[in-house]
Amino acid sequence: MRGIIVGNSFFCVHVWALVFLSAWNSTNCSRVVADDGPYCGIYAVYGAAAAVGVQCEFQTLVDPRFVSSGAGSTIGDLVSAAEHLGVRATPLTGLGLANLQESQDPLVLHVSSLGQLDAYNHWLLFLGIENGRARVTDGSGAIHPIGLAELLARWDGVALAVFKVDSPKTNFGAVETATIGWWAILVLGAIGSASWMVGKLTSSARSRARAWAVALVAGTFIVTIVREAQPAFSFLRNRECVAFIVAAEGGREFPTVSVVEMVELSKSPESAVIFDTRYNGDMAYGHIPGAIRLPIDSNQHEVAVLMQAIDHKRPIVLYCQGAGCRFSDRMAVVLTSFGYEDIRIFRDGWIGWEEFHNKSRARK
Amino acid sequence: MQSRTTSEGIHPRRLRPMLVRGVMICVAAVLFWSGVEHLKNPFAFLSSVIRYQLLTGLPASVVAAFLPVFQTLLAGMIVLGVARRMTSLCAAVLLTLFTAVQLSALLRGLEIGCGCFGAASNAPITGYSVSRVAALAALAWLMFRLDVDDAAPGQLPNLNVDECSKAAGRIEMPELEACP
Repeated sequence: MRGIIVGNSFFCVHVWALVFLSAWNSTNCSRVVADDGPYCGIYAVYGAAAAVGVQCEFQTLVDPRFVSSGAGSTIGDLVSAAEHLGVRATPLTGLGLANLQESQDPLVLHVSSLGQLDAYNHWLLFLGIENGRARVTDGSGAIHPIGLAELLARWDGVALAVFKVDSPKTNFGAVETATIGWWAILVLGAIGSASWMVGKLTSSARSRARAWAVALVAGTFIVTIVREAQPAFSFLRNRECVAFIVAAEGGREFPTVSVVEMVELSKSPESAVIFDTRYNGDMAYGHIPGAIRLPIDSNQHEVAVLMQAIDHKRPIVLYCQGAGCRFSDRMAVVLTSFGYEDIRIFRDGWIGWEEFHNKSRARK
Repeated sequence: MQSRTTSEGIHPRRLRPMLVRGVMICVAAVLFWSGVEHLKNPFAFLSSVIRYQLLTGLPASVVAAFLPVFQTLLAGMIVLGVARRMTSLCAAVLLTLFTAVQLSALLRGLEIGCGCFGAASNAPITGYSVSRVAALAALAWLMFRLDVDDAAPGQLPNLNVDECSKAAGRIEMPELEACP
């Protein structure tokens, strides 16, 4: 369905809510995507403009008007950036999967950083759904598919719809109204049917109250089972995503390996895959033999490309600078979302490795 | 049949059920809104549930899957006015539970968003946010106390038809709603 967003009063509430949200909570990019700096937002707008056929120089967006702080762009900055490029951008909030499915326009989504679900501080460009997976770009990376469940887990429902001036655009207000309307009809229909059954089966007020309690519980169960049949909403069919959320939110403690075990593992590369999660610059000063670069500032596409070659059943060991460093834990959470289960952390990190070898050399 | 209205307008005895109904519909609207927001993105809701550090893994998934559906069905039942006593009790218990959970997060010093109305509502839990949901819970309990229309007759004082008729003849009719 297509139409004009602003005409929908219900939708206006969402827009105002977003304006409030934007003013109250400065939306920005973290430095997690260090290669792209604080530019994830303008990269997303740049990509969205290109998707609707407006070409421009990316450098024109690297301007304090569009990246108002070192932390990144606010949603207001991104609207200005879109206008600068000659495209329209409408801020939206309270969106869900139905909106992604119906969207005809590129959407700049407000998401959490990779491996950190508790802070929505990053922008991704959503370019539609293909074969049940979302097509997204992260920063300057290429288009890559990610699971809808994973995208939903990282998204707070805030988006910027980008479309060409004077071209038709998705009526998200209508999608929203339809979603709530269908749900309301389903609920009222279910209660109406239950009411008829309860009236037929019971006579006294007390037994009627009991029958209603049973109907409420049974109705909840049935509707939940029906929802589980929808692949994008199902917890059972998205176990990897659930494991990722549990690991990210529950502060999952991954098993650790000692420095002695690490020495053994580094001698036999077949036993485990070792990843160095420090920044590229840190790794240049030295690393554990056989370790593969998986910097904490990798974007989703880079991780996906790297992990394509790694068997899901192989043990993985991650390390970073030292015992106080948490990059390994965050990357372990990210790898959980890719379906890896046997993940361990070398807690002592590069500093522990160096100390161990320095002591060994001193003894000799 | 004696008129139940006064020269000033609706009789207070008639006003109370209307007030109870109105307030319960407001409570239902809050439950429905919250439920629909969570249904739109169940994975974000699962994150919110785990963030409270009370449940994890399977129990958290079960809560995230069932609770929004339960909330919306309950809201629908309240709006339609079926099993009013049972639904107002459920709403009161549910809101009390939400209050307790938020209060526990506050007391444990967790700096998390309440996630009450979807992922975008990630304002941190504060005394104000707890008192807001507590006020809603208190209101639901009050409505449960006041709303006795759907009570089972066996649970009420034993009154016969004559006593009720006498009661109905007076201006003050405290036992009127207990009549079979």
